[in-house]
Amino acid sequence: MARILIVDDDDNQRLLYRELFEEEGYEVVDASDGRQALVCIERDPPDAVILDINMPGMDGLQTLARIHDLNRRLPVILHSAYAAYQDQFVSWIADAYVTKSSDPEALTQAVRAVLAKKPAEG
Amino acid sequence: MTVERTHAVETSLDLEGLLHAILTCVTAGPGLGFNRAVLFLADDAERQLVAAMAIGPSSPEEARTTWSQLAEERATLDKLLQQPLCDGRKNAFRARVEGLSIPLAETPSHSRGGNPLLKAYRNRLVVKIADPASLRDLSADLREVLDGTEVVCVPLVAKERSIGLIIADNAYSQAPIDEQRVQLLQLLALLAGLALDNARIYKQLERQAGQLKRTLEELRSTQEQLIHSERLATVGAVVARVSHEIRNPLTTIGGFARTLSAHPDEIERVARNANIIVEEVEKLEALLKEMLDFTSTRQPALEPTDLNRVITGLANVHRDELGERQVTLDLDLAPDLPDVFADRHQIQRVLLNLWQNALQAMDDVPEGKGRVLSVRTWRDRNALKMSFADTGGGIAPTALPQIFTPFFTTKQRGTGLGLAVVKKIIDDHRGTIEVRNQQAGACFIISLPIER
Repeated sequence: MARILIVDDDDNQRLLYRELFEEEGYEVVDASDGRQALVCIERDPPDAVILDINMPGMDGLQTLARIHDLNRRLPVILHSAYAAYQDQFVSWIADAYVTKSSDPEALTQAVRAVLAKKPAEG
Repeated sequence: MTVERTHAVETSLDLEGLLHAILTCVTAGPGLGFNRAVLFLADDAERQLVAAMAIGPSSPEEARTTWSQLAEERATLDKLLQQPLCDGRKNAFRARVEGLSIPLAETPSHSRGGNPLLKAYRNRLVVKIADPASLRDLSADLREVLDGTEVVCVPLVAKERSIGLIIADNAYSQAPIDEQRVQLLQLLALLAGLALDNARIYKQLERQAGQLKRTLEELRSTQEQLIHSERLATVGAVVARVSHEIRNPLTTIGGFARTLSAHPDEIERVARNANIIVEEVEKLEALLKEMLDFTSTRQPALEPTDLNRVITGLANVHRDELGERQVTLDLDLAPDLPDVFADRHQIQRVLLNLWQNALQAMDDVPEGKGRVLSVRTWRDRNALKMSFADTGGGIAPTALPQIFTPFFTTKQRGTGLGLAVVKKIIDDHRGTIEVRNQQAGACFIISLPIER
């Protein structure tokens, strides 16, 4: 069962996506900021990360760069209410960029896509 | 020479008028009384002297008529000086002279001692020429004009530099040019040179003023464009921020609404998610309220208010939060403060806003490194003052000037309206609010007038 890490400072959004992905059959862990996310990844790397950008402290783009340093093969999906962060080139190292929407289809599709692309381990 | 005469020459700043005044002094009977005079000015590149003005009759007949007429009129110099420039009597000679020029380039001279006109100009000397028509250095046109008469040339000098030449003669009366006349002409030329230089400077100033005016107009229009584009940029930033603040709750609401309709039978889950939806709707309402508050024009409902009580009330309500966030509250409230006339609810909002900002600023301070919120009140003459100081490291100096600007924010979350609303409320109370960085963090100081 694939494990997904959801990083978002909004408590209710973490709840929402936890429900959503658990229903889809994934195992879900979450973190409320970039620092926590890095701790999770170092401790037990998930199969994919859904990363919010606008967060206090270390924001999503900074976190993305750190994840990239830690583990280049870990797929990251940037997930923001704000589409314009795609202008910042650091966002291009993410595997996907999904603008937040009440329809979760784009996000679930992106997760399926990055997991399918991920090279088999070992 | 009378005072009026020199005055007329020195005060005229318009070039045409000045040239005319100078030559009127040279030719008028009550002046120096020469028959004719031509004034040459060096062009900007100093390549040639160009005839700029001429006064005098064009024929012996015209000379006779003009002079008898002037004698009849008993024309004084003042009157002559005031004559309009386009006086028909002067025009024929002027037209003949117009366009004449004397090249200043060094060419081999036909005369012994060089071209006398150039000598007068270059060496700043008065030169008398007995028979100009025989001077092969002069152009044919000029020789023709000056035929059959003795002429005197005086240089026009300004600031130690030659700028032109006056040539005068008695072509019709054939009166000899005596030394006294020459000296007077020299004196007049001296004044004329100064006046011409003044006129040149004035013209230059006028040109520069014109340039400045054009530059100013350009600046104005550039400024308007800038203001316009800045306004658009501000609107853009506002739209981006507000849409972000709206999209987050909307995403959550929409997402949970979908789970409700997908699983209507799971009562517990429905209840939980419905609560979340309500919470998110409240966030949207709060955002809306903040935006409306900011644009509202409601005047504060002033009543006697005990500032210290408002502060202690706020501290009591949020005591638990202080504990959770490991913040020490340091209250230093002056006893026996008079009431201020203030809108209690609005002041509460101000304090709450500053309070929350201070706590948020200290979130990043490592635990145990001293998170202290200091609130002070004191009386300063006719005002009550209170300060809110935190130990959160302060505000970036670049952000400081904009801190009260609507929609400006250094936070990831927030509309950038909080401190703008604070400022507006304090302004509405005719008070002041200022902010500065202290050693450990930011300090806001509010001053409210005690009298209504």
